[in-house]
Amino acid sequence: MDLVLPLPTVPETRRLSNAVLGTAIFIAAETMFFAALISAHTIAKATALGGVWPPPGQPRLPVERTAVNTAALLLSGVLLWTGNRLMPRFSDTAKRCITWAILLGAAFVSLQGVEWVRLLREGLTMTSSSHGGFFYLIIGAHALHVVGGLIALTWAYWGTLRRTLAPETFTAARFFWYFVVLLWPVLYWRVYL
Amino acid sequence: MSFAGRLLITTGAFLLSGAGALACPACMSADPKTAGTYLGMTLMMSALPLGLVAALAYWLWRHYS
Repeated sequence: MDLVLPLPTVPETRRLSNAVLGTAIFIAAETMFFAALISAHTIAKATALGGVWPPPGQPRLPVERTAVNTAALLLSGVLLWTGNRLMPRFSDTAKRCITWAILLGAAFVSLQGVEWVRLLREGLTMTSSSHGGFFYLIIGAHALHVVGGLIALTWAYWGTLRRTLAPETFTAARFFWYFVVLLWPVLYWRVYL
Repeated sequence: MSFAGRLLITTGAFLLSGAGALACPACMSADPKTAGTYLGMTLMMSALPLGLVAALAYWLWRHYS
């Protein structure tokens, strides 16, 4: 006769959703991806010929304008956090906060695009120097994450409002957005400053 | 092989590989700044995954406790 042991059960309300756990694991993997890029960039910077970085003849990165852009992205994270705190009541303030968070994220990536066009015109390309290669690789990878995060956030928020998606999906998208927001100051510090 | 034998071989291999690593002209150049950067990045890349796993474990523990 088989012996059947009862498995310990977790109450439904405390069960971690697959979306949130999956996103947490994904964020951990992405953290390592960006850490590897930052590590390679830091070593390239330290071993630059003559200790000069960016290499001679390469345009200067727009530090001041990107600082404003950084503030916009950070504000987006704060607004999303505030909006979520007010979310259970689905108040107009909560909706406004989340909508502004998404709009600020879109503004960030659009302004980054404008800066990229300007830098390309000034001669900073993927192949112009290791500075250009690292810049487009690191900042471009982050920009792709911002775009992905915006799509996920908008889709999850819309689905939660229409009650076609579980609130945990929005939680997962939020977590990813916080990751994208918190990662940016580190990249700004390492690449721009 | 006995434990003492395995210990001897491991220690010998460790000591020999240490000399090989120091001979690398890029990793340990005469410039202390470059060497410091390599060391810092090595520490970061070694500690980060451990920190991430620990953070994930702590978060799950907090969630279920």
